[in-house]
Amino acid sequence: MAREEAGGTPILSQRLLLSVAEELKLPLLQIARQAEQGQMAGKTDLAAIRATADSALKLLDNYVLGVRLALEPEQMAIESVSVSSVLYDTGQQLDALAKSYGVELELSIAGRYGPVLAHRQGLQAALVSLGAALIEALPAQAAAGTGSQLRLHLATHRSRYGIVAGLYADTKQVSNEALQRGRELQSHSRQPLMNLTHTSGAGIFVADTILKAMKLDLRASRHHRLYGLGTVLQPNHQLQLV
Amino acid sequence: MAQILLVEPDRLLAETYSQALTGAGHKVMIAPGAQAAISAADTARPDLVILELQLVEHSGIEFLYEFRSYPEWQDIPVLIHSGVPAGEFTDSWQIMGQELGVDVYLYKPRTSLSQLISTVRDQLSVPA
Amino acid sequence: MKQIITKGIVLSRTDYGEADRILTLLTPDQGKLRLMARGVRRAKSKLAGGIELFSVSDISYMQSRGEIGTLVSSRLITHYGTIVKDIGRVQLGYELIKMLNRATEDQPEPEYFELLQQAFEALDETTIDQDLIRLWFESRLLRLAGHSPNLHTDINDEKLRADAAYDFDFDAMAFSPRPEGHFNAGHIKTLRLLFSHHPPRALAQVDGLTALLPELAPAVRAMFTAHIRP
Repeated sequence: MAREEAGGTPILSQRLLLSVAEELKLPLLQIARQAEQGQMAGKTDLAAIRATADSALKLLDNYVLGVRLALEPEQMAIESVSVSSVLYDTGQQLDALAKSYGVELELSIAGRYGPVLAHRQGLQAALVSLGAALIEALPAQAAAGTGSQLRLHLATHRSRYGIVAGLYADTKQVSNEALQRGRELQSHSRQPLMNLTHTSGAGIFVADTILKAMKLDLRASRHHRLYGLGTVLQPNHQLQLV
Repeated sequence: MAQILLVEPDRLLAETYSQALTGAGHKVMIAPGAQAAISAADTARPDLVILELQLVEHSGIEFLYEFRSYPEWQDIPVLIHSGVPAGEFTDSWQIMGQELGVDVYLYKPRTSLSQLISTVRDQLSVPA
Repeated sequence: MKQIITKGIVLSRTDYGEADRILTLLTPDQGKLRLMARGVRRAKSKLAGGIELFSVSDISYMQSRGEIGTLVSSRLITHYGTIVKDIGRVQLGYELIKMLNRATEDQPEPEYFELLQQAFEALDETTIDQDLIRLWFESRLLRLAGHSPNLHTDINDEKLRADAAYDFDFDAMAFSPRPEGHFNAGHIKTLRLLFSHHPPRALAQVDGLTALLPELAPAVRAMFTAHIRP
């Protein structure tokens, strides 16, 4: 069932499906236990259950989108996209989940960046998928005794390679080597990105798959003094000339 | 009433389990990872540890080796409550149980809150 | 009572009394030892650091007339600390220890010590596939026990051919030519490598080897179950 792209990297791989399946156990478990606790205590937090269910549905949707984009790249409509607008919408989609996990979202889109060429739906799905994974991971990374507010920054900045859109936090650095190692370990390990997340990292690998299908790369990135993951997009020069 | 150290990396699950255990009359300290768990145990000696094996940076087994290296914590019951299916451990479970002083392994997806609460009660009533 | 100095790999540790432990260790020259480590569970014990699981230590002990000797001192040489970071790898580590314990009598040859040490080295290296380590270990245990399959001639004593297909005859521990057979030259070549003296690190470098492991694993496991672990 695995389809290989040039260079031998499976896109439609059983290991991604396995990763997504493992990851989905978590929100279903959360819902089951929250419902049981609600029954025991006589009061159920329906907002929390809803946020969990919505997040799980998004993961599935984003996985399906990644698979479809990989299968039918010719169907991918490339358009002129405002990165700030994509990040803003990403923040909206992640808001409920972030609140459940006690993570504040901060949008850093200062500066004027022209539009980029991208498949908007794919780019947003990748960032939402990545964001959900990082939101779940941040409290798990929290060191002993730190009561400080956890924050995830949705940010864009210009680099010499193009316009970077990514998600960042004041956390330990993720290197490109660790990310690549995680990709290789995906079929061998329950926690291929163990220094980043306690889960199978499905959200990160789904984002990886979507971006690969769009001929973009998920990379380790830095924004001011924050570390995170992002992708480099190319400005739409044609529009800028007009 | 017992002091329980809950080593659970997922915040939502940690809150739910904590509420259930508190409702059953226990006091709960939540630690998301190995280092936080060692610090928490240092601050207030737990009567029992509930441990997820899949943590960030250090595995639950790594934590348990360190935890058991402290003589004052060697007899504290540890209950594994993990998303890793117990069936995967098969033969190695015997060594792990003996090596790390673990008597109970609960697979999270198949363990309800009431089962967790009653297992905790059973573990606490076993003489050290 | 004589004091003996050797190297040891801990196979198991069992609590005894308030502060002691009984250890089972594998050594290269004294076989399997059962030693009492007195006071090791106390805070200031000098012995505590040298007798970890997944490590090789220098040890000195007194052998009494009884079954259990007394550990006098220990010094850690190598600790394979990465193993415990990964649930799957530590689990496999425990399984390999158990497999070796079951496969060996009290006086195992030095090769078993080397085997376990190489296994820990491989497990400590996260890039080496776990399935490769497990299959290699089973193959080596079979070989050490004198139960290697015939990887050069078939059941009719004919040389194995590169263009033929085979099935495996577990009673004869040899390949049997069959037009619809499940095994081909690639499988046989991989088995030759698994049953050779090459450690897992070297095998992991061989192109295409890992891809064939899922097809070979059931056969090797069946050989192992039949001959080592009934």
